[in-house]
Amino acid sequence: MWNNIYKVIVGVFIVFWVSFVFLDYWQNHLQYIIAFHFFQYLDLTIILTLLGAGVTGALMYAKKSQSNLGMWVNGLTVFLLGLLIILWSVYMFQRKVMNVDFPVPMDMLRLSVKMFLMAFYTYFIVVSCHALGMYMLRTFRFEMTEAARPIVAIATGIMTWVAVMFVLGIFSLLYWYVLLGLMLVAILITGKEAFPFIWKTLFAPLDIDRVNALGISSFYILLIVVSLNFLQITIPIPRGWDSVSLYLNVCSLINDYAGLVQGHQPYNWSLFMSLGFIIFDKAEMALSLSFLGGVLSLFALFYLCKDWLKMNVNYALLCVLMFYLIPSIAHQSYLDLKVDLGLLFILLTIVVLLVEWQQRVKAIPENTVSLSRTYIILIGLFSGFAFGVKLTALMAFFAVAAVIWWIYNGKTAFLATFFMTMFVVLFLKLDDTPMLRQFHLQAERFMWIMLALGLGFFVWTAIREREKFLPPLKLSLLYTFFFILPIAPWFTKNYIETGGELSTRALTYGKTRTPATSVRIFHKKWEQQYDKPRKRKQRQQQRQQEQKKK
Amino acid sequence: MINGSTYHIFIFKKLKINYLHWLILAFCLSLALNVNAQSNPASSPPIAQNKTEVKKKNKQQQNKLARQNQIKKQQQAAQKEALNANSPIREEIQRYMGYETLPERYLSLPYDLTMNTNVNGGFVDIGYLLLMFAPVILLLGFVRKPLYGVLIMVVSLVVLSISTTTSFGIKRGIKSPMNVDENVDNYIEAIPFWDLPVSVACAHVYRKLCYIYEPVHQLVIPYSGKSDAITYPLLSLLFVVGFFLLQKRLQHHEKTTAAIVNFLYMFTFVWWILASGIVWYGYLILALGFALVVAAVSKYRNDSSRLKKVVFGLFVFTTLSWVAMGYVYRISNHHFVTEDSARLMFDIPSVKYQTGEFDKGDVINNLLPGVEKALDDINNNPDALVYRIGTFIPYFIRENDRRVLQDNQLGFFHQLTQKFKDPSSITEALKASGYRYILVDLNTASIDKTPEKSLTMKFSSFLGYLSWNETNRDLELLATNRVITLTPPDSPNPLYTHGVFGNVYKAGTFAVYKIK
Repeated sequence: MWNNIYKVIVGVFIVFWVSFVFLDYWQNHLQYIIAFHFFQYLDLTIILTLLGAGVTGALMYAKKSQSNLGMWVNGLTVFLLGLLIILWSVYMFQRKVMNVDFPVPMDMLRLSVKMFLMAFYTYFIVVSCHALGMYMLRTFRFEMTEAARPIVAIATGIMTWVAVMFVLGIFSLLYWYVLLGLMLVAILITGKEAFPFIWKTLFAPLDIDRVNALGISSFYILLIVVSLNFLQITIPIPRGWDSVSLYLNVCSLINDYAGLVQGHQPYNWSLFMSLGFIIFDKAEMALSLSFLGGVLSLFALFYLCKDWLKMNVNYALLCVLMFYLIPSIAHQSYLDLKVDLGLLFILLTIVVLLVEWQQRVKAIPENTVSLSRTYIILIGLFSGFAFGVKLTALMAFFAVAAVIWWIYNGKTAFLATFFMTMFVVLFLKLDDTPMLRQFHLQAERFMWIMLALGLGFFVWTAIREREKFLPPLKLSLLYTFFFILPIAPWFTKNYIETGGELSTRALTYGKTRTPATSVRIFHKKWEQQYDKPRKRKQRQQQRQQEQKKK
Repeated sequence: MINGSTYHIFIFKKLKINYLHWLILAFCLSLALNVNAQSNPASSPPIAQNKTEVKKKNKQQQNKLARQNQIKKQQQAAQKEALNANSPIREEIQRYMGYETLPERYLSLPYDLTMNTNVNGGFVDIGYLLLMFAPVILLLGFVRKPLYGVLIMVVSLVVLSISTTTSFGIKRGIKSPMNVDENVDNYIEAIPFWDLPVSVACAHVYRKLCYIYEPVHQLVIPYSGKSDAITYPLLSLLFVVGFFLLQKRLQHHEKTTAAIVNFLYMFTFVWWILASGIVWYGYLILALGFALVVAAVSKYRNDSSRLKKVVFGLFVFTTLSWVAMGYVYRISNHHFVTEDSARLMFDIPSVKYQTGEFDKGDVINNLLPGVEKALDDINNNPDALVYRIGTFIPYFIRENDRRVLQDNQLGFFHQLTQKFKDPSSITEALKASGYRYILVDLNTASIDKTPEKSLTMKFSSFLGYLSWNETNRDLELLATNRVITLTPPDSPNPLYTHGVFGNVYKAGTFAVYKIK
């Protein structure tokens, strides 16, 4: 009976919780109510729904009748469907706002050409990244499942291109002909990787066997959102505050100098985005490479849903759609394009690798040591690269380290890592970056307690399971080494810029060329230029007056 | 079959693990208490005293006056403090986290981010699904373990009570969270249910949650305040307890799943203590969180448990609502207020560019009217430095990394005002250091969420500086998109002109000045 009462309480609690959060969210986000109230695009929605229903019906028919229609469902036709959505949306907008009754053929043609070129250029970069990434993975004999390979290959390719650009940037060689030449050479040399990828992504039929109406509609709405985002980033100047004042600005400066920009925190993804300026001389292409991070994240998330969480493909598509509809994600996908979605892609790739690592170790337990080493090296490199995209990726470093210890030594070791993480956070004053340390009194005392607990738990782990203690220790050291490796060039650059300073701030931010902000210097210059001459003049005038009086 | 010795080893191991759990908990608890006892009393008494005073009804009037004085003093001190060092970070970064009492600031973060309590806008909106289903999924793993289930429900309600009470206070500018209950009562009394049914229904829940909040707040406040020594130990303790709960919840799952969930757990905690509530630093949490929620709930569809079927039904409803809301929101103009502007799904200049009607120059002129001439002037003087408060105009300035000094939160300007006595000297100082242009975002103060309104004060001081110099012809206005009205003495009709000071007709966003 008690059990039933408990279940009733749980049921009531769940219904209360879900209803309250839902209602409270509604009343705190009036923009949704206003959006529904003033919704102006019902006609467009009906057209898109009819189009979607037609596509869904055709696909369902193709599935049931075993006809050849499914052959036509490939990357290229998905792109064409996206283009159709864009053209309809723009026409409906022109009709409502710009008093255009019928679609202007030249407008639509120019728009189609522009969108095609944007997509083609972006796709070209993706192909070159994939080709280079696959080449690297094969060279280092890195094995993984078929599903994970394209994601990891593209991420590896991006990382490699950024490394190449960094080196070229040192010698101010970031010119379009250098980079375009290198990319074409890379694609031609790795034709074995590039051409099958092009075939698979553009022409090979998509697997729609297990997709039902939920999956197709999720995919279709996702396509609408992606298409509209893609349209809205096709602008010559970025719109968002952070985008225009920092991330795109750095890209633009890289293009201006044909080399690295002095100062700033490491800017791996901005370096990647600067390809848009350098090769194509277009801000929208740089924006497109920022947007690409979001799209690639969707693929990585889809993989995780399907292959890690063993989700039905339809729920996986729904999950990806739900994620992409988050307003904050939407904001960074077409309004304020920064590097966070690129960073997300790299972090999701790390998660993909963690999953692959565990699955392969489970499948081939006799190769655990070598497999672990290989995977940890790649995870370390990606973590370091992510740190070079944004310093906040340090959070992933701590999380990966904790998981390595948890896998081998369980809860005690995980807690030990947690205590050590707290120690490191406090010791390096990482909480002082957002100026939160000032609120935590006696943080130093707490820091030493954390160190003592961390060491104590590690010692306990070592005593309890001595034979299992060494592998995670070795892997952690290996991970740390390969984490530092992609960051080392940035640290070196910053070290040189700051004239040999070794502080955390100097190493991570370097020294920009921004004018100095010392009030003392301002005052000194003001005194020299205005105050002293003025006083001198006053003194002269006084003297003259005194002389006159005399 | 388990033989005797194996059984003993098994029991021993189990005992050892349990012993380990309790030891860690005891350790953390003693640690927290230890630090509690040593917390700096100087930082907390005023608030504790306030609380005591408020409750003494016979001395209400006197206390009210004393409290007002004290609050005024505290505000003045806070303003002075905020105007000095670190205030730019307090204004720009910490606004995402809020400015409540320290433990409440952290504990209310999941709710605040979901409901956008501290900062409002699409860029910080993460949707409701994570807050909605994370505790539910955790709870459903303990249907046969009431102790854990009750613990989860109690903790969820306590955290919710802290969040709703402080959130109500922040949104309505109520200084002390202990006064929220009265304000909620006033709100419920003032608004008939059928006028705003959702808000009033939620307000009733807030009111009930105040009963949970008040004792919790009273318990914490003697040891806490805007700063304390208990928050880090408390958060660490929560991490440890949460970790054990999570391990229990994951014990029948695959090792890979447990590994990734632990990864996410650790990542989330570090984000919690380091990211100051900035959403985009934790996008990974959203991505993996959504995946875990969908994976867990979608499995309930075929479950025999009625409870899980109910949860699946709720999931279907809320998910469909989410997709509908997301779609409508996406296909609308986010900044609209009228039916007409709701049509602006895209920018007109952008569409004209996309259809080949406009080139880059046309788009710039449309978005920043009049700025082109000012930019030509700035770019034709490559050695002149530029002092910038906000605005994205520097993007168009060549070698802006060398030429532009960024002072978005006016921290440097505040230092200048401390050093130089009059506006004219500040202009001279800027000029002596090579500055010839000033770029200003006219909405700089709009991001100010600090209780002491430090950025607003600095910005109004800066506007005073600009106004003084404009009048004295030390500065020349090169461009602005603000429109003001002038009424000529001999005409009743107002004249519309671009300017910064006067009767503002259209607020505008930027101004470019040249230092003469």
